[in-house]
Amino acid sequence: MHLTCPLWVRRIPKIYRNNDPFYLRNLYLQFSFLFRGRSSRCFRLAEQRVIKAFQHMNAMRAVRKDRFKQLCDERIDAACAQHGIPGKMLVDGLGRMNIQLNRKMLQQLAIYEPYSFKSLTDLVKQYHSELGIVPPNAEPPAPVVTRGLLQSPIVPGNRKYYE
Amino acid sequence: RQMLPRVFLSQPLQNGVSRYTCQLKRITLKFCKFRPNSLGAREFIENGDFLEFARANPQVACYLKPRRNRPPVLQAEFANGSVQLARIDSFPAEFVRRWFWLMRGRSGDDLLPLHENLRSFHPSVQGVWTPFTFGRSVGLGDLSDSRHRPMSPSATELIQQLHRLQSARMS
Repeated sequence: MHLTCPLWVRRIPKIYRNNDPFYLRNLYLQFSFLFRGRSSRCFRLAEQRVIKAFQHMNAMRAVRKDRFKQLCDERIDAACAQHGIPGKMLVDGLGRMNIQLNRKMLQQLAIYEPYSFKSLTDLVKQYHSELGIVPPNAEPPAPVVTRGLLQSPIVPGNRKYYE
Repeated sequence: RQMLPRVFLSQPLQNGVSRYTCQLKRITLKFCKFRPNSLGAREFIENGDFLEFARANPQVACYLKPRRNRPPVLQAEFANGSVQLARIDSFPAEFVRRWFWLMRGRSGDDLLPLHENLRSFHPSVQGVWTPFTFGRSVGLGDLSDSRHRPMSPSATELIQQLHRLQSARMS
């Protein structure tokens, strides 16, 4: 039978377990094992810290998502700035060309696959230059052969034009 | 961070990189022969799913423990010594079956929140970005704009000062 050491020492029947102070305090102390100092060992200090920590955990869930999104956007912006286009232009341009890369993947490419990322920025610059929009501070991109496919890509809707 | 530390995805001894060994060693199904909350467990056994699991996984020791007046429980023991319990109280037989196969795929490590759902020791094929990847176009401004000034002048600055003094004296 799998009983923990405290349970072996104190064979308290289950109906009384909820009222035994050991169990009530253990509920909090289970969560405080990484706290600093006596808050990790003494119930009267741990109770307050643990309740506050739970509140922080709850509050931080939405905040964490926002912060990671912000970080992601910053990274894309910085990587694009090196190639002379704003981050928004990249995301918008890729969307218009029906290249389905979300911000998470763009961020990963910018960090781990910088040359692929550069080629994406070149593609976006080409798309915009075909429309007559020139991004400021941009070097002329490497020649991208498009054959008009950036403006009218082959998607299921216009397949008949290519058959 | 204080309450539940986050961990990186990992396998014991890089299981699966070259060779894969099933980490589940023993699985025990405790159930009651009479009480209604064990119905799913009983059906699981009677339908032959338990035998099917045992035959498909010869590396796992499968045990049945009928225990009177106890709720049904699935106990899985792993190669790293950890024991995981799954309460299957009033579960349908299909759910019990799924728990069995889930335990078969587990490594026995504690279930902790992950930093990321992916992990790779070689995440980059083209080489991780550095400020020098696309030439020295990033992070190299004119150092005279910097607010950090050394205490003593450099050799170049000393020579420049001397030149200025000399040309002032000459003119």
